[in-house]
Amino acid sequence: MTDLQLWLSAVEMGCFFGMLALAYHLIYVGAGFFNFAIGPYAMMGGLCTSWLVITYDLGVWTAATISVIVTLILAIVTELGVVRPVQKRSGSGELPALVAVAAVLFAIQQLAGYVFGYPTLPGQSLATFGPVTIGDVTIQPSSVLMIVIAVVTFVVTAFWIRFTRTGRLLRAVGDSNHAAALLGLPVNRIRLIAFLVAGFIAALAGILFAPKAGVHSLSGLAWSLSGFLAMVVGGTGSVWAPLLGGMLLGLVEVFLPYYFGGQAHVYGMLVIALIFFAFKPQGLFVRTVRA
Amino acid sequence: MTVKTSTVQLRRSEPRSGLGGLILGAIAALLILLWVGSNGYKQTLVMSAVTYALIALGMYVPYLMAGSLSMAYSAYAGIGGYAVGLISTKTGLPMVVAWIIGPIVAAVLAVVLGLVTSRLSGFFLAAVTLLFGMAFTAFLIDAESITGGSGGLGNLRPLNLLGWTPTPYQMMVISVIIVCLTAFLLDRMRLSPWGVIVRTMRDAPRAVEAAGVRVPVLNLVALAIGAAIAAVGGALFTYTAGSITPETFTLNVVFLAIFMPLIGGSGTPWGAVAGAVIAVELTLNFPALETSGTLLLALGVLIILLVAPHGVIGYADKLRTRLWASLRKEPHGG
Amino acid sequence: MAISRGTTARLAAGLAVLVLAAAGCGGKNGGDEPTDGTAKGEPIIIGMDEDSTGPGASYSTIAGKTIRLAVQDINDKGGVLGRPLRLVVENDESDPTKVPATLQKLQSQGAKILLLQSGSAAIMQAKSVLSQIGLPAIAPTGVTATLVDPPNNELIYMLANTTADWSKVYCGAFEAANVKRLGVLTDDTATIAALNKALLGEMDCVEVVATEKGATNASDLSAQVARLKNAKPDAVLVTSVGGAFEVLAQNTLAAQMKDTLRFSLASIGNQPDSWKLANPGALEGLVFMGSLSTDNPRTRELIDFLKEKNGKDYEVTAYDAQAWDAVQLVKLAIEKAGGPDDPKKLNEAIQSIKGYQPTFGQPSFTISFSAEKHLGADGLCGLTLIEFGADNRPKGPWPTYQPPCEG
Repeated sequence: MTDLQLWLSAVEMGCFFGMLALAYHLIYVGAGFFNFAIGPYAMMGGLCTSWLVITYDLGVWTAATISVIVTLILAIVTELGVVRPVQKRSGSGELPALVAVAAVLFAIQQLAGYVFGYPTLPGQSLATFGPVTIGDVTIQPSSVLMIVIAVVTFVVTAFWIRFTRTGRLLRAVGDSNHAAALLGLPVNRIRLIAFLVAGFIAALAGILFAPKAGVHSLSGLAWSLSGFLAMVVGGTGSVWAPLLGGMLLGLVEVFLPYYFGGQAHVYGMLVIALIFFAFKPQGLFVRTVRA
Repeated sequence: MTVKTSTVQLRRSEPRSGLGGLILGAIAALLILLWVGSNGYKQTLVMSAVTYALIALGMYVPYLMAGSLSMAYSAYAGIGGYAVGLISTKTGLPMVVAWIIGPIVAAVLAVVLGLVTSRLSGFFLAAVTLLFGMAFTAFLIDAESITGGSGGLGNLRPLNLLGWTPTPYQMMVISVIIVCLTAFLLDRMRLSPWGVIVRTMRDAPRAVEAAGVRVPVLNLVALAIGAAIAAVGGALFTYTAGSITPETFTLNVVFLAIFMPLIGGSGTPWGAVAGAVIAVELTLNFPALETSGTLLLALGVLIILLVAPHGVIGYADKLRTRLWASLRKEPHGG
Repeated sequence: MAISRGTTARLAAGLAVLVLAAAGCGGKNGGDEPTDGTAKGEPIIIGMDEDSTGPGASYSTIAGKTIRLAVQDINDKGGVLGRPLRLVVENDESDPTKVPATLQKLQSQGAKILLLQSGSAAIMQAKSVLSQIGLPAIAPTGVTATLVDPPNNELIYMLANTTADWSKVYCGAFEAANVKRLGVLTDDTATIAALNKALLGEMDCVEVVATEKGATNASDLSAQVARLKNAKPDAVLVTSVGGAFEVLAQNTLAAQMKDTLRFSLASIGNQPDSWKLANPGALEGLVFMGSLSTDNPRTRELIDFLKEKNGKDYEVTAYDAQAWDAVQLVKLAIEKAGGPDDPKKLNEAIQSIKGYQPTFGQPSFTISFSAEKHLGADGLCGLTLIEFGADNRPKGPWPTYQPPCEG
């Protein structure tokens, strides 16, 4: 348990899951449903960047910017083209929205596979510095970047939600969609903003995580599930909750296989999902409403 | 006037016995069998369609009838497939037993999973059952001594029913018959009083409880039946393919199985079958679009979701009623 | 019925346009098929099952490209018996359950002989299908010994030394390096599962103290490597199909088990695209099972040819050489049989090939077949152990041990 290398891996994965969970959190607060397409957004960010760099020899930053834009477009299409019409049509029913978002997830994966190919592409590191050595442990530059930018993202998002007007509108809409509409708040615009910010965070997470082990068109599904689980475990009580959930999952991913071997982390995720979904669906951080 | 798709609609033209669907389905099946002839490649296409159809029919039971979307169907199909593999390689039992044991094990597992997730619905249920599907694949890889690990099981024995071994063509015909029978029986069930209750359960569970029917039990029964059907499909595919690995029934299959009733039409089980045929045609047989057939399918699903929520059959049916109405010069009912 | 029918209809139209555009742009993956060159007459159809999108893609695409170049080269020089070779290609994604459909499709397109460029588990499945369709087949990069064992082995052939020979070479290497305890890091593909069984089963010269398996798409292998470390092996062998998994494995091993001797199969050593993906210096000291020696004049010729076609930075690997030789053997067999149309004669023609000098292995290495010998390699001279340098590129033969080569 004292192996620094393992802790480092766990923290890195935790940061990745945390960012995905944050994206889920924002859409849940702003639009009231779970956007299972977050994983594919992240995949798009990473895969598109890699493909552009490898096929067209673009600079990493140019490729990354293009990929983020592409992902944002996908996010907008998801909201305007699919989710909003389906939700309008079927009212409060969960199932049509679920099927719709599953179709979007599937479609994005297939689109990515078709355009970028199916083999795993290596991630492109945004870092220009070399590996960092701390004692016995060497930390790859992409890992450093992942951790640092994850923390920065959470700080900025927390600030945004608490101190800017849009952020507070987002919280208001999340607290009660109905009341917000009655008050004349621009609910639809808030939803769109939530989608855009979430899409951006997801794409960024994908670009940062891809150098670890590469990315391919089907990576998105597992990432969607991990992000969702991290969000639920963390709870909706605070902006930092997704990070906590992510860290917990990161520990599971690394330490369960260490102690039990094989695919223990998959079993672990299932058990955690069963426990949390059934007994504590509000997660670890519950927001208490001041009466 | 909004007409919710889930409300029970008694259409005057719809026969209560489900025979209409059976006749159309049988004709289509016959045409397909004639088209195949002795072409080995086309036979494998039909077997893929059969497997998808059975998995989709399996998902149809709890989803469209009880409104719960479980994504664990890759596991149930895998159980059916591994039943065939294990019975063939590890025991000396006759192969037919696989088609009995596999569905039973799958049904039991579905009931257990249903009990554990009984309080979940919607996104949570979908996520947990997806994770279950992944955990099942992980188990298949880890439990090497039982399941053959990542290499899976191969070199399966041929079926021996009292001395008669069906040829691949005969096996295909049997499979198609099984699909048609299953769709027909599910259709009858849907139109029967029991089916009406199950569908009402989705929208007004309290009314159903008040009528004295136990909703949770019905739910579990629906899940068990669905899992068993999927297992039969998995077993058939494994038998004709001759081998099975943990990667055979992937989560991809589950997604396709959700979309097939959507494409074909969610009003009747035959929609799942129609969707399966379309899906196989697009993903496996479209010559110019080898790798993009699935993409077309995905985009097609999105289009159908937005524009024609009743799927291909629903659209065809709407055209038929409009045509009929215009021929009879009746006012088109809203 | 959607409430805002107008907008959804417009969106649907937009999606439909996207779909048609996608359909129009389709076929981008199907290009680069060889032309008929200067050969005339009715084409001889060769079927290739190439895993271009599945787990075996990392090596199958390398071999596939060279197979196409070889076919083009033969056609440019007049073809076989004056007739052009035509390649039809299908993809089974190394999935045993897709194999029957793939091979049936190749036969229905008129293939007379097959090249199986896919994972070993898929090729295993192919054996029973071959008996059904009656066509002979060569697996150019196959190395699992059980592929040519009965049952159903009458129609399948392989070129290179198999795992039975590999285990002899590894054992020699372990002895020379004083390795008594071995740790194995493996992936979860069906291909490697079959290979592990064949390879590790034969290696009783060493004690396997730990076997750790990671998912092919794993994002992290530090847990597995930490467990390996706890077992204190003298050396670690990575058995995988290569690609992203092996890069991650070697990176993690280099970071966590810096001072432990590392071995690999023929995978990463023959996948030049992977070399620059590894962390700087991560591959230094890695010893892999190679097959190319520049002492072999035919190897030098092939290197020149491929560098001319693919650019002077192209790194030639064993996969290229085996792919090239497979096509030459097909040509030889068709010529010996006088034509491609009788599968039995074609099969016998393959079995009559003796002493063919391939473009891989030591200069004296030859390939021969017979009715009982479906494995081409004559002796161990097809193998060399090659070591990586600090620049993540193969440095040269491993000085500690090389497989013995008789004359």
